[in-house]
Amino acid sequence: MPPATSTPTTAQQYAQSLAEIAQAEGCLDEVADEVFRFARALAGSDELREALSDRRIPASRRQQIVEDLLSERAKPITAGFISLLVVAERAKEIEAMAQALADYAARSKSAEVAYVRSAVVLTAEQVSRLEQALSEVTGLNIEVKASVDANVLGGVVATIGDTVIDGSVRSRLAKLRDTFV
Amino acid sequence: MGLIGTLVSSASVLAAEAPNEIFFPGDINEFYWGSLAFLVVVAFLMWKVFPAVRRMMRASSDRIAAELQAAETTRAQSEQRTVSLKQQLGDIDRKKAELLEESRQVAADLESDLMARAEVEAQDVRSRGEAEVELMRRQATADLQAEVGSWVAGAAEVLIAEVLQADEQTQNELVEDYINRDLRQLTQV
Repeated sequence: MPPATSTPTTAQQYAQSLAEIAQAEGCLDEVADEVFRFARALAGSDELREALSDRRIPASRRQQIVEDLLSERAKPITAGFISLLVVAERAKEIEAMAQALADYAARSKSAEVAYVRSAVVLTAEQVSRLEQALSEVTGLNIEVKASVDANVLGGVVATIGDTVIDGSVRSRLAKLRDTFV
Repeated sequence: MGLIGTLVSSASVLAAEAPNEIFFPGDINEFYWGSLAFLVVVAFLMWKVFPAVRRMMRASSDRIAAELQAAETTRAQSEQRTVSLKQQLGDIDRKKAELLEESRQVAADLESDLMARAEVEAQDVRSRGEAEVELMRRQATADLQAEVGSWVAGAAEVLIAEVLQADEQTQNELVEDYINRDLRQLTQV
């Protein structure tokens, strides 16, 4: 996932508040992961994003949608935080907050977050080996946040800060196109 | 004339009054007085008339001589003028010939210069035309290559996307290649 571009200051403030609460509860990694996965789901579904952002829909209804989605799949603190954002008309900033939260969680462990996009879902074992490989090549303690992006076509794209390590089929096709052109 | 008339009349009267017996059939006095009157008339003529006539004739002669001299001078001047004009005419002809020759030379030089310049310009135009044609050919080739490349890349993209979408094994192999090989190669670059 690329660095946040929308209202980073506000997103960081929200993320830090949630991170401090989750850290106090001893579940920072889980909460960060849940928020990250919800943000990815939100990014992949126009219908869900519009439903949670539409002010014509009553706040209670939008809050109910979040609870229906997360009540059994996420910790209460995660569901409560996202409900709060939806009621506060900040659903569009969830992605930036998820990134800020992931960065916060990683820094708390002296790690850097690598946002990894692939065309298929990576297995836990692949994520683990990818973390290890990325740590070796970068010399950093890398924590992977994986997401599925059909636009990649195949292979993997890893983004660490400003560094992009692009091994996707999309980039190879782009190089092929450049060669022809 | 009054005096001469009187003398002649007196001589005639005297001669008529006394006839003689020598060669003259009249009065001898008439002879004497007639001769005297003749001499007087001659003397008078020589004294008064002849010089005047001579002066008049001399003046006329001088005038004629002066006129002749003027005519001669005019003729000489005319001849000189004629010679000068002929000379000038010759000079004009020569100058005309020189100008014509110079004009021909200038025209020839100009023609030669124009021909050379036209040849250079024609060569330049040909060179530019050839360069433009070559540039257009290269551009057309590049455009065609780019267009064909774009088609090929687009077709390859669609084909590969369809193949990969249905081929989970290849997708996993691509991920494994990234973890095991591509990641290190990409970061080395």
